Amino acid sequence: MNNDQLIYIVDDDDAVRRSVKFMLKHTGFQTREMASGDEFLKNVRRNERGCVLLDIRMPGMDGLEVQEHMNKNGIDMPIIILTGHGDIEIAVKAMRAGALNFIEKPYNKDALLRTIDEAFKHLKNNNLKEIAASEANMRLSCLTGRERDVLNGLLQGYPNKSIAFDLGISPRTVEIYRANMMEKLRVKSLAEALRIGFAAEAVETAAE
Amino acid sequence: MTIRWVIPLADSKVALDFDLRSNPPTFNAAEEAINSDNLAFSEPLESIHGGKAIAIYAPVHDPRSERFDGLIGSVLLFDPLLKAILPEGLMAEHDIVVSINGKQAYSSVGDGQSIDPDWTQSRSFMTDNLQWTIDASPKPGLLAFVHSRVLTIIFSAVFVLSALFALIVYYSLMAQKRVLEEREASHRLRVPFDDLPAIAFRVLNQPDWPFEYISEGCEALTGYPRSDFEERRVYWGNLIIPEDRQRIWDEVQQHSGSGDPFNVEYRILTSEGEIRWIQTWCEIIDIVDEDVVYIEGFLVDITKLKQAETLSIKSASLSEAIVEAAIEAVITVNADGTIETFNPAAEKMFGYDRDEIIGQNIEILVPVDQRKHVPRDPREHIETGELRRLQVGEIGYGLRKDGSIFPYELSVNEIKHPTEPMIVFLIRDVSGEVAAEKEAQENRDRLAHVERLNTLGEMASGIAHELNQPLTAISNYMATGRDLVDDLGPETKEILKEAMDEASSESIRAGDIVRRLRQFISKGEVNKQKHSLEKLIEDAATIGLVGAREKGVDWTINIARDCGTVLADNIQIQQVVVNLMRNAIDAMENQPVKHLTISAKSASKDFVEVSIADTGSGISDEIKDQLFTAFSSTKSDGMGLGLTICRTIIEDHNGKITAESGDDGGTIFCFTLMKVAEEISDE
Repeated sequence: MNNDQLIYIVDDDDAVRRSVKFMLKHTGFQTREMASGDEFLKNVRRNERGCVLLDIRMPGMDGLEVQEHMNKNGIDMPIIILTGHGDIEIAVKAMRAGALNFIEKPYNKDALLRTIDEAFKHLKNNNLKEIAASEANMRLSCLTGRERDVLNGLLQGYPNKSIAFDLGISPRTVEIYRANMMEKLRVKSLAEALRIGFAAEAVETAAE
Repeated sequence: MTIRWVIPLADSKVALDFDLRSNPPTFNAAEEAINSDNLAFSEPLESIHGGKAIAIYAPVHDPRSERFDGLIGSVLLFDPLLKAILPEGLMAEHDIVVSINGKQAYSSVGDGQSIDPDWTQSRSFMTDNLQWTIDASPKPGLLAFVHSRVLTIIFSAVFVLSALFALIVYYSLMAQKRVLEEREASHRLRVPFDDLPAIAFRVLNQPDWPFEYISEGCEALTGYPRSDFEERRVYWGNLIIPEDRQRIWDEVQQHSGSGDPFNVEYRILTSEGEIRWIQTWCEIIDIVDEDVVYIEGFLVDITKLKQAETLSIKSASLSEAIVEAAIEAVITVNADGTIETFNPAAEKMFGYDRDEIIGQNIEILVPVDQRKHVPRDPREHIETGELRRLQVGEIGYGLRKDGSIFPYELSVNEIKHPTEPMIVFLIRDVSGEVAAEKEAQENRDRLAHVERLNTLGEMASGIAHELNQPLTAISNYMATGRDLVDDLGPETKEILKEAMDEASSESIRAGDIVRRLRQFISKGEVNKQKHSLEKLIEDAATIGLVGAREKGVDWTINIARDCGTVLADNIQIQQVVVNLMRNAIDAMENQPVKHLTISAKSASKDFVEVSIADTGSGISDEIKDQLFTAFSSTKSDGMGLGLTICRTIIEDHNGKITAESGDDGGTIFCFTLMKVAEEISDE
């Protein structure tokens, strides 16, 4: 299918890198593999734009630092953060820094492909990069106070349990608010919800 | 000062109560004898019998106290001596003057008169610091008569005379001295006779036992002089203590008429109030003519004997009581290994009654498989030193009557006797201590286990990450494969195979991690076995280095070929390695260079040394000392148990763990493990 679409795979784990390459190659993507952030930043070409699958935990420069460098050097490519279980906090940081999405290892192939697909859409249409702040605010206005609180907690990268503790409610209740919140925002993933949240935050910050 | 004994010369009558002070020369000589503690001669003196004399004194000592006791004195009278020895004709024709130390001791011409010096022949000699000079010369009458014709002859005669006289004086002095010395020696002997234990007696057969005769020793024994007894001022019967009086009377009367010697024992009170044990050997003498019955015999003071006897009875019963009450089993065995005594503690410990065990061989108390170590004849043990080897608190095993086996600590003593040597075994049941030690060991193992769980808890996210990698890879391969199945061609088949192979090896990788983790947290019995050190360290590194790469730490593992096999509990040793690796990784968190070096090499014939070196900030000396102490963590989230447990584990393995600062900063932890020979591991 999308024979010309290029994916950078940045992961220090040999097995993961090879398996991702194997999967994407047989799915029809072009791939370039790098074992570290340094290697990626050294070899990436501005004109060879693609989607970046970026591992968070790496020796030397970690995922967040790579992202920072990219931002600084104006390397504008959609980033999908690969995280291990329990690294949500870092993923949220990455999102805040502009990552398009994150996905937890091990992941469902279809979920990864969907995310990649989204990323390429994004790449094609640069304007799609940010959801309009106005739209974000509009969507957020549907939320109740508690739902908004839960989202704010998630935007800080807190796990459900911490949010529950801070709000003085049970984690189970947080889960319910979180599900309601995602339904009202019409998003399927936490990443999407976060993106809307970040867009609205940017407006608020600008307004201040 | 008085003279104790005087040796009279043949016809001198020297009074015993001679007061020395009446005669200064004798007094001086006596004093000199006392002061010099040696024989002393007086200056020449006028004898109370008339004529010249010298006095000789010898000091006498009490044989027991060695204290000065008195003097033996003698007087040498010159007149009778010379008259007895020298021919009267010569004496009549010659004048003789004897001087001692330049003072005239004797003169045949009367005091103050000198003899004709022209004809005088003089002879001198020394004896006992006295300078004797004998001067002899022919009397003037003789000289006038002989004139010059026989002058030479006379002169020669005087010469002979003076020499002869000197010799005589000398020899008589020496003889005198010898007599005195012998006398003193016999005095020394005489005193002990008085103290002889046996005191002879003859007593009337009456309840108050009046003595007809008793020998000198009675005073030393009772404090009363013999005269008190013999003159009936003191009755023997009153000295005998009241409890014994009737018994003695009865016993003696029983022997009346038999004529056989017999002996009785009883106690008396001395004049000082001391009790003395007396044994009396005696015989009843019935003098029919006189119508009296005597008892004759002698008494012996057996107080010391009695005391010794009482003491030995006491000490025997004391040691018996100790043995009976001892907590330790006391077993005595004769030279054949036959049990001779078996105390209550031994009965309790081994479950045998002493009646059934006495007479059996000691072997019966030794587990069957260890009997070969106990020779039938314990003397062999003593001779070969086997028993001595056993004495050093070594733990042995005893066999109870019910067949159970228990650990004990043994000490062995040999009672030396030329014909019947005996061996005493002191046995202490240490099963309680062994159990306590086992429990302590179990507690240590449990703690080590908890600490491992804790380690893994702290590492959870790292471990999850470590497991996620192969799982992610597997999932990637499987998902790709699944999608390829729909479109099976020769090409896709190859791809599919590749996917399967990759997935399979990744799942093995994941399984390996899980296996090591499970092993690491397993609670299993501590089991020291032979392990390849290399594999041990590699397994530990799998866990210990989790997350290290992400933290930017790189490492070198360098295991020398000569390390071979160690005797260890693999899990516990892995725990130590993991702990040290994780400490090292933490220590390097803020360092520019993060390098971990794990190396192992042979340290000696019996030990290998494993070292884990980091490039961290090193350790300060004050921390170094308490590094292995519990609850002294430098980490904010640490319990401070890790290194303590490491030390416990290593010491359990007979090794040592140390921490040193590295040459270029950083810390090096080293521990040792015991090597095992490879060929044994093949058995």
